[in-house]
Amino acid sequence: MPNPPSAHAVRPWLALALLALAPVALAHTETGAASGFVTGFLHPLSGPDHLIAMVAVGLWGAFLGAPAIWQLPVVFPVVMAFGGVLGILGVPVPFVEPGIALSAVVLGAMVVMTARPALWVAALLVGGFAVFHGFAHGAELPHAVSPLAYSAGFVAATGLLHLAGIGFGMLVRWPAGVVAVRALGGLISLGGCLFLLRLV
Amino acid sequence: MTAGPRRAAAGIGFAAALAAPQAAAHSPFPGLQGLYTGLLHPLTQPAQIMVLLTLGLLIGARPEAVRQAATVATLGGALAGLIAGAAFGLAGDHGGALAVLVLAGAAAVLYRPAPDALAVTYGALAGILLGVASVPDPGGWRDVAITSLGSGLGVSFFVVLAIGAMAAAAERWAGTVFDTARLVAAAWLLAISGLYAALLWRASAPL
Repeated sequence: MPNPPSAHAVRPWLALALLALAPVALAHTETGAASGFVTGFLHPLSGPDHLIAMVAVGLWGAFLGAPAIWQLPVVFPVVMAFGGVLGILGVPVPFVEPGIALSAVVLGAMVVMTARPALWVAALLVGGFAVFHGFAHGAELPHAVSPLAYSAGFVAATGLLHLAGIGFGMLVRWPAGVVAVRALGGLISLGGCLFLLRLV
Repeated sequence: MTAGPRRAAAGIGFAAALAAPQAAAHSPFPGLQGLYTGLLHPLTQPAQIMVLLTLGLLIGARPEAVRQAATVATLGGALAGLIAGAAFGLAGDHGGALAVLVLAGAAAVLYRPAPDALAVTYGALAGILLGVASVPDPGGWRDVAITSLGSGLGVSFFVVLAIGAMAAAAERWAGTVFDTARLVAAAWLLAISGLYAALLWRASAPL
């Protein structure tokens, strides 16, 4: 009986099969749902102040460990969507831009200090800042071709930014990694300070 | 076959399954086109996919008796919704109603432990809305009947698949990882449906 094919031998075929699908995906990039998803996906990535704060959520979660590492990324999108709805409906929320900049300052500082408060305190802090982020995005949302695809892209990008932070935060398992993660937290906090100064 | 090639073969099978609609788009049996369209209808409507995912998250991880009752309620609701929707001419997108349904279901997943009776009731409501949202556009009675049959079969298949897949996942990966993944998925669904509902609201009544 011949030996079964190894995983290495089959992988090229799998790659080929996936490549064969690529033209299907590319055929309609400029219209409808695909365009809406891409536009929504890019939206959270377009503002560096948003981006660094969301990465900081993941970094801090990694320091806090279980269950916070996964519960903060549950809290953030839910509260952010609430803020987004306020923005879409035009409900006024004060100090949005300072709140976003402050979120980077505070969350970055939490990483630098390796702060480990009670879970509810961390959730309250992250959730409170998420309202500002959601509101800013909600107020800027365009009349999308596909609102659902736009929303899905927007939430997916936010979640992936958290995941990126968690991924980098996993380095805390090693001593040098702790230094690297805290240094990144410091850079995020510094970035937040610069955004705050720009608003003054 | 060892695990690596088996996984790769499964990947190829999945890729081939994704490619299949292209090949089937030009059916040699034109009369069956409506059946095929109806079968795939839940997958062509993102809002319906979200409802199916929510059903899986809310019902799939429950005890077998509750799961079965909720599945039957969902399928019964879908049949009732399809018939009532066709009878009263309710064909349409119904995106707003589906978004609110997902919003409520995802919130119920995040609120632990949501009562079993709530899950069964939710299944019935979701079934009704899925049925109504699957009503074919008006046309010849034969086309409408065939497409409705396809829609009914499609909704039934994907409801059972969503709940069954989640049940299998709950059994396979029982524990913290599964619970966490379920909550993260529910949080994402809640966020997406909330933003979607608000965008629809703004589009229908510009502020």
